[in-house]
Amino acid sequence: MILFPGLLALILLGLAGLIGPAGRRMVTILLPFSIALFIIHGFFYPGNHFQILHLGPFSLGLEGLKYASRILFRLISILALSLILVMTTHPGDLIQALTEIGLSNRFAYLFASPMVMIPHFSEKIKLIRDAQQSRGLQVEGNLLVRIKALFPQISPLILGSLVDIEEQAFALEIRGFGIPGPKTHIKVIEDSKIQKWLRILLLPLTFFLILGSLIGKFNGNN
Amino acid sequence: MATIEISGFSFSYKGMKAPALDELNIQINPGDVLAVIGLNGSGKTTFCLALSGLLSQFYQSEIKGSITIFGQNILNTPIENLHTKISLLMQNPVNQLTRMRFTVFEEIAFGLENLGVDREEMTSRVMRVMTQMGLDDLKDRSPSTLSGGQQQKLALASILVLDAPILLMDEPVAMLDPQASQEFFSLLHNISLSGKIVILTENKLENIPPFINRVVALSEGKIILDGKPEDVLTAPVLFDAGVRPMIYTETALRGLKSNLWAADRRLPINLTDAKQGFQSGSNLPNT
Repeated sequence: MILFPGLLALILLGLAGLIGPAGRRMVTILLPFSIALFIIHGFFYPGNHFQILHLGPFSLGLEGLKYASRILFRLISILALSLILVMTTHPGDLIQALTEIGLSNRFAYLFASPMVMIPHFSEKIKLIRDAQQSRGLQVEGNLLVRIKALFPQISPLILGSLVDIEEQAFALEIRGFGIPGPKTHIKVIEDSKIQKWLRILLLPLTFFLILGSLIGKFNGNN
Repeated sequence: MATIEISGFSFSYKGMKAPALDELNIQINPGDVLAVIGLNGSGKTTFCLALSGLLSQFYQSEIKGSITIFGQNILNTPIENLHTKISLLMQNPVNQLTRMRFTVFEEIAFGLENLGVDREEMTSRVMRVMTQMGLDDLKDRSPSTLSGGQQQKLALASILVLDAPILLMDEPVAMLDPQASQEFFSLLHNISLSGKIVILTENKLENIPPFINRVVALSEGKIILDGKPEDVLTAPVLFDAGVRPMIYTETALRGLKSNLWAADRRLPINLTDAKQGFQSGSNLPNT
């Protein structure tokens, strides 16, 4: 059951021809995380009874590994589903589609703005890092050096971003973003038959997954 | 009645003792191509925010006086009713753009989409502005891949398409190189000739374009000078307020001390005047 959304997301990524780039991103993000996950839960999960390996004073428990696997599958599902959205949908199209079904401009922007801002923040972080490095800040090295380098990078990022966000809000207002009433769109967003059918199929599927999860919980099964 | 009338306008940011703008009184009329100058912190950006209606909309602070545009007090007018009267261009073009549009063409159309303009009219207005701004070749490019100069042109196009009669710009060339600045000002000159009121702020006098016909100097939120560029940009009170003179004016001021510039001659604000002044003072070789 827990594998199903992840597998479905991987199939959809495959259909969109994105399995390669999405897979690389997933491995980059999840590999370090899963190593830590399996070590911590494998050795220190409180419910460990069936020990499969002994390393000095520590024992690797099967229950901990199962628990770590469950968390990892959940993460795979969340990440794969998020990647489908991020890698196939331009935030502008998402905002337009949401306003076309009757949501307010502001709500649609609020919903999609993290996707809009991520590339901007990445560029900004790179700029700040370069600027701080040119002033002698050491940003590479062991963990302690990296932690020390965080503050001089994060504070200008936060302060600069607050100014940027305010300016952007002004710019949007000046261009009539907050005007109530119907909007028009210069771009026509294609809604193919397969997309429509997928939406129709995914809706009951989501319902059954939630139902299945609730039944599982009710029966004391995680 | 003037198109823009600011009367006894004062504003202080919350928690600040000194007012950001202090008892401003100014009238702006059609044909005015106005530069508002002053040091950083003199109140230029606050002036732009006040005039565009954003200050009263977004800041919860005490405001005194009034600002009317075409007879309407903008301080109690919702911002969505002002976009047809006044447009504001920010200093940083990156923040002016929505980041929500694939192409230059779509980016320019954003404001018209919000106004609910139909697709046919929208297309024709966007095409017209793109041609006016020389952006035709960039129509299908992503805004994020443009150079700083191109992005600033796009930002200008994106507000120009709304066709407001007043254009307000906060240090529009602050992030551009000299060549891009020149190109931008040449476009702006053409726009000013179309009858729009153009107001821009600047802290470097060298960046003030030659077609400006009125200059207002701000210092600590107060108007200290208001007049023709040749008078304001050479006034000692401006330099006393800490504003650095233009290189031509500064050189002539030095020339005055060493009798290379005639005391009764007006100080120059461009190369031609400076050259003529020094040649007629005539201790310099005639080059």
